[in-house]
Amino acid sequence: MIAGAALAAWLADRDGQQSSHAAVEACARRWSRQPLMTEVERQLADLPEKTSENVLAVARDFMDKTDEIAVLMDELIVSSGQDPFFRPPFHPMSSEIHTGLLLFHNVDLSIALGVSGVDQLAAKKAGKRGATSIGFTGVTSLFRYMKAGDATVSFWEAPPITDAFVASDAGQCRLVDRRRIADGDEILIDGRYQSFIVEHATSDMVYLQAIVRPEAAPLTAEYDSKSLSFIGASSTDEASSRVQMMVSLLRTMEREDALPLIEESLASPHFYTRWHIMRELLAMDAERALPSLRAMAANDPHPEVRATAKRTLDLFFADESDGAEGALSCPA
Amino acid sequence: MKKKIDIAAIPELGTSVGMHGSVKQKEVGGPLCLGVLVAIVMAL
Repeated sequence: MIAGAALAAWLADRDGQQSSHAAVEACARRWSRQPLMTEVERQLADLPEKTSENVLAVARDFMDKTDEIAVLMDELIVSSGQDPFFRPPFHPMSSEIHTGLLLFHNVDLSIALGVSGVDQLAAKKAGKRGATSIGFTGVTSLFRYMKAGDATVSFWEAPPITDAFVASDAGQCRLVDRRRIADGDEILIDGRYQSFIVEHATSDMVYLQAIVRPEAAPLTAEYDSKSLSFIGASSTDEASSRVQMMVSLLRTMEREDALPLIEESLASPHFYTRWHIMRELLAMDAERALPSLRAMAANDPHPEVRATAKRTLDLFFADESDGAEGALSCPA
Repeated sequence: MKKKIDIAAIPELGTSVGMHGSVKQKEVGGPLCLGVLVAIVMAL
């Protein structure tokens, strides 16, 4: 922890502040040009197809550059030791049990360097807490443990999350393995049906983590850690969540001039976004929404969307069934 | 006059899907962290 006197002295020392900022900027410039970083971008750009497997290979290649990663870590440690106000030029990330730096991030791949503190882990496990869950992220994750902390990890599986996911069919997750991991071990998790939990560790865990997004499931699934039953889902697609919020805002603002754009967003690949948009559209202009609603009831690839669209037709348009013959092709 | 339907009266899917990055309960301590945190970083 930085002493109050040191912080006060630094805040009063304009040259000292500039020196700290300059060191951060120099570090950022240097590492943005290093092959460790530039190669991963080039490799991703050169991929003929961004499949999960191809992007995972790029992540693995990054992690294999252990010497370069060690140089990076050494530099960050030395710079932090020389100046307590030096901040590594990477996005910091932290949770109750984890502190990390986001080394690389783009739409297909994120790579982070992280530490799970054994004290924080123990405090979380031993502390008073409410219901907990086992999360299935829907994306592929690769963990490479530089220091495994003599950890014991349990591995879990659940029914695969697909585009046709239905909560009532999500069943339960189940324990498939429990084992110790060693320094240098790798854990590869297909988050569409696999997950893991750190059960116990005797020292801090230091690791690289890659998140591979191509071919991701449309949603993450959570299972209750006691009953092992499905308890909830959330979107894996940030853009579609933003679209949902924007369309709700446009409806609240009564922006009917946005209706053509809102109709376009009915073509979302995600079933939950399609229905969210349809509800908003019905609330704004039900007659205009009717052809798309009929198309959804007839052709939407998701069974719940079809069933809910049919129920909505019966509820609000029962007297207009004559027009149903002209159902349009499904926008999805 | 356009026909508008009270949005609260329109049926919802049986499968409720929350916004990106939202979780119902605290996870036990597995691989969810980065996915959620990247979303938070991007939102800043």
